Amino acid sequence: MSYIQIKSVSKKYGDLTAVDNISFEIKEGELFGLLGPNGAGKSTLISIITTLIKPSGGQILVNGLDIKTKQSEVKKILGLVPQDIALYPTLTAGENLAFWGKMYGLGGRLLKERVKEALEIAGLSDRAKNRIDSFSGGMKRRINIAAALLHKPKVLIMDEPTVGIDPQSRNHILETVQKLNKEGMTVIYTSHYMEEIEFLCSYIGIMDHGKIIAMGTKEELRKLVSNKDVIKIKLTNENDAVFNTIKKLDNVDNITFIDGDLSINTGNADTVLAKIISTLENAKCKIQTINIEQSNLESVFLHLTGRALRD
Amino acid sequence: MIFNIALKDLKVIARDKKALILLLIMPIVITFILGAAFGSSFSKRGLDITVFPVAVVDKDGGDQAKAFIEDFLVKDLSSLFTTQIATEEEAFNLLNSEKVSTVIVIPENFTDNINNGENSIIEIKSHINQQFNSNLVSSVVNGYMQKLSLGNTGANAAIETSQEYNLPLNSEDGTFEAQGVIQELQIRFNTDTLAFTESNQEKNKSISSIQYYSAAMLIMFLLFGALRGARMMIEERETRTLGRVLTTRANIATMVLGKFLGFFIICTCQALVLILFARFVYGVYWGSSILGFTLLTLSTIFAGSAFAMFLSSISKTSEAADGLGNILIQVFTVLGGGMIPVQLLPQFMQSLSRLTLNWWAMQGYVDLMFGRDLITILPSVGVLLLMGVLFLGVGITKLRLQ
Repeated sequence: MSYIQIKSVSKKYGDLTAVDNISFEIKEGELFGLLGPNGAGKSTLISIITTLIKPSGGQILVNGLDIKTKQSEVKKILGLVPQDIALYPTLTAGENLAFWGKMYGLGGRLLKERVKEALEIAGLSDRAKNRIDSFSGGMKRRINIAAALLHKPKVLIMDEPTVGIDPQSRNHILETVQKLNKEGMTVIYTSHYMEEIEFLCSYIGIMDHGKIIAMGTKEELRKLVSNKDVIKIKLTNENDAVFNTIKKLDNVDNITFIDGDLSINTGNADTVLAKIISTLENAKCKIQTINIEQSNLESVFLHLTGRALRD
Repeated sequence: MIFNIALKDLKVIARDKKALILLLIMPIVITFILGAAFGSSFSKRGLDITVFPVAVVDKDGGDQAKAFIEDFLVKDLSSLFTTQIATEEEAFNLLNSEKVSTVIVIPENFTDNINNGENSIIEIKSHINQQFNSNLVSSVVNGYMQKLSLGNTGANAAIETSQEYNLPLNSEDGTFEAQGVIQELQIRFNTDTLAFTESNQEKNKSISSIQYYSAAMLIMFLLFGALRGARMMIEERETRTLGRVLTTRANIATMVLGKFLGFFIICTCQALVLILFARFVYGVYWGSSILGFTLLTLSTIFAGSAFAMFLSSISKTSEAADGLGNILIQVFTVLGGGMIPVQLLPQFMQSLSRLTLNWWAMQGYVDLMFGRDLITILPSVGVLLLMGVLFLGVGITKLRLQ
């Protein structure tokens, strides 16, 4: 059953269309991933769902409630983890959580209990009395998430919650998200990290230039590039001319080059690999490593847009 | 929820050591430096009540009018103002050209009314730019008239009592006549009036430089306190914390009111510390009207907090708010007489100074320090509240649009 319905939603800022006539539905208890490069319109869409900005057109229903007319009821259902660390650095973790709890209408003993629970979820119970500005980036992110859980929302919306953190904190966050989802919480998780979306999400929307360009389960999306391989070659030097030559080779679909990494989408790596290597050698490009990977969401995005997620 | 936002802001600022130094230590130090630096010049000319010109229109021409002009205005109050007798037309020309600050109009039949024990109203007309001097004139003239009225009441009571007991009131009988009773009592009461007025004015005739700068720095640093609040609000907007507040049960009105209350509480705490420090360490006399002082301080804080709300609504970044706020506060302080008394500024700057909340607040504090009462500072309070409402109105409107 659809818990969140997004119907023909758009948002325009003058001539710029940040969200372009998007429609999709999210089921109750689903862990929905929204994947797209920076600037794709993910955060704008999240801001519209959480009632922070008004859409230029369209309608959003959360549990059958229109977010335009039933704003306060919808707010009780939603919990937002913003992309930025929306905490007060000079207050302690406990004080921050108590503040946000009060903003969600909690008080007294219930507030104390919820703060304690939230600190446990964040794995930072022993740091309750420490100021946020003494925390590492990862710990701040964990408290940022905990603050959205105080009122036990039915839907948790997480906007790039792992930007700029250490692997340990990232793992903790991903595990927490999985656990919350297993307990029945509907989660919308946006990221430009393909691995996180692939790891977590049961249903995925790929967004680019304000539009949903593909949507489905991981398997459904991979089928879009079935029988395709990705050849990844790490180079120590670059040569734009040779990239154009490779692009024209038979069986090469798409090619991207970012920070020394050459990614080539191909229908058959075996037939084209030798030609690619000799072309690179002729152009005096030095090859460090070569990997052949099965298709993934990155290759889906590359296939659909001709660009890499990090472009 | 509003209090939660406000108290959180207070807690945040209380933990900010740099802010505490700026808002509490700096004004205390600067007050001391300015007070010491300008101490000598203040005793010579600065904030003594300077003698100013007034014009008197005598429409009566009788003895009572003459006594009021010659004995009271010209003689007894010569240390406060110089008195120039003029026709009505001349007087108002002088007033319009600001050659006199106030015109006193003695009505027709003034002497007859006084002699007959009836009330008579002396009109006071003043230039809008000379409210301070005008208040002073009103205060002393009202005092004179009140005592005159008491004299009449006393004389009438004496006459009625004499008549009731058939006591002779005829001078031919070797006693005194009614007219004489009235005049005698009036003279006695008038003498008392003068003694009261003189002593009251004498007591608070000048304010010290440390007093002056305690008020000036209080106003300036209250604005800096409010600016700090504005900066905090913009930083929260930049880190999307303010946006997150709006995803909770709070709406825009709750958020804006919470922030405004936060500014107000921060500035009130700051004012309390600075006022008490000035009182007990520098020995500053803030005036005798506690109600007037409280009202003026709260009005100043209201206007300052509203200014901060306005500033945060028009600034896109915290750096922009800081830059613009610092410039505006310093310009307001100079124009408002916070660095040197307004009377020493060029005329065009004196005219501009009325546009600043510093000037109105400063006038109020100076009035109170000169020993004046609540009524005297009400215009300042009114203008400060009006400025606050305007700043707040524009600020909230802009924030809602954003």
